[in-house]
Amino acid sequence: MNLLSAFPGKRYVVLKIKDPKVRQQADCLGMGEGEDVYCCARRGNGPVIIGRAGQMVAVGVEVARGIQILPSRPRKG
Amino acid sequence: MVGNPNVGKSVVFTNLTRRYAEVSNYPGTTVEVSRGFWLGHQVADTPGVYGLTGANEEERLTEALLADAEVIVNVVDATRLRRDLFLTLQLSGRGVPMVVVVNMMDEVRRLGQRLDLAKLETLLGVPVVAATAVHGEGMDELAQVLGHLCHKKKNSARRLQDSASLRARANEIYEKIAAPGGAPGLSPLDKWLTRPLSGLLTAALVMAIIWWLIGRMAADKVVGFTEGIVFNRWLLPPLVRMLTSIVPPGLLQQILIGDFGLLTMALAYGIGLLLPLVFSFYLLLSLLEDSGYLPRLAVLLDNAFRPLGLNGKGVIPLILGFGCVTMAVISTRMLSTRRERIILSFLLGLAVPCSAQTGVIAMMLVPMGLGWLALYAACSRRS
Repeated sequence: MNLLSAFPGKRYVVLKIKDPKVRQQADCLGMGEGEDVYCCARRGNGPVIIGRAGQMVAVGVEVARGIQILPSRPRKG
Repeated sequence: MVGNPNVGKSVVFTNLTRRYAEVSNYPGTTVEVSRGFWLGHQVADTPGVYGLTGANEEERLTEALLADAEVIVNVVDATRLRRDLFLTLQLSGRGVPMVVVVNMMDEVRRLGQRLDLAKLETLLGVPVVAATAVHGEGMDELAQVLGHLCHKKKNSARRLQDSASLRARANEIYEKIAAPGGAPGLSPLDKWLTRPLSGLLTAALVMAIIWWLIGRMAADKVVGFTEGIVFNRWLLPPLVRMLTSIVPPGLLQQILIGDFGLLTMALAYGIGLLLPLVFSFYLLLSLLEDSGYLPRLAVLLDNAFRPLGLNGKGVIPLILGFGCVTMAVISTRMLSTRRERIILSFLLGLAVPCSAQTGVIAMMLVPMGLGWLALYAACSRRS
């Protein structure tokens, strides 16, 4: 599934980011491949707002389409 | 001075150099490099960057400045340390003496978080200073550390790791010095401002207020006073009388006090007309920036602006363009890429009539009837 299918309030793991430039930017922001992100909101057909460690980023539709995610397993403890 | 956008670099810069740098809470405020001096050493305040990947103009400019840097002051946001450590690791690999200023420590204390900065210093191998730059906290310590670093020699640069390895290392360091944070979420106000119905209503209200304040209050009332009364009634008549008696009629008199004279027109227009407009425009723009409203508006309108090759932030210059296109073109600086700035400048030049043009267009259309007015409105929407 891609980021556009994310449900607000759920955690996801970023599996793959297609565009190398976006991948690099995502690494800078701490939301790159392998990272655990939280879907804060989805605005209609518009941006997906994702969060990680206190910061939120609005990802535009075109970029979000190229980001593969998987639902994250709940943390122990 | 290097750091992520919106971490307080400009405040640290001002504290060090006693020179004002434009400060606001909107990323990208430092659009140019501000330079000042600290004890005879030049200090450069670079634009905010998330990393040094050469992805945009700001990153390339920062890279170029770093090539000549003798000391790096890396300012990081204590509440976004996980994110900021990526850039810190990139910088620490360059072999240039460096100090990390962990800014906004008051926020960390307020949120009840804990950061082990002594451990961070050990893990990074560079001095770390805790600071709250807006209150001047940590600035004396920074000055002391800088005093030592200025005499240190550069080491050879380490080979840079790829971004994924750097991120993994940044996360590893962060987990050793801080407790994991909870899931972030939108506040009720964020939800209100970014939901389509409530967000659009608020946006319409904000735009109406801006239009009223600039278009009606500043352009009408304030300019009516400064140009119409202060200049045209109080200042210019005695000035013209005095110069008429001193300067003989001819070219010089025309240049000074003629219909398009330096004093009669340039001074009156520059100070009486444009200054109040520019001042009120920047006052409102900085209020929007400081309130954090612009990113929320960008999220709300992103969808509508995508077909134009723009993002939601483009709405502000477009609306301002209906008041004054010149001011609107200046405000395109808030867009992140050159491409977006060019698209929007063309749109403003070609498709958005300013208040004066709108008046002329309306006057021309009225005698032609409602049908032509509707056709013009439809064509304007299409363009």
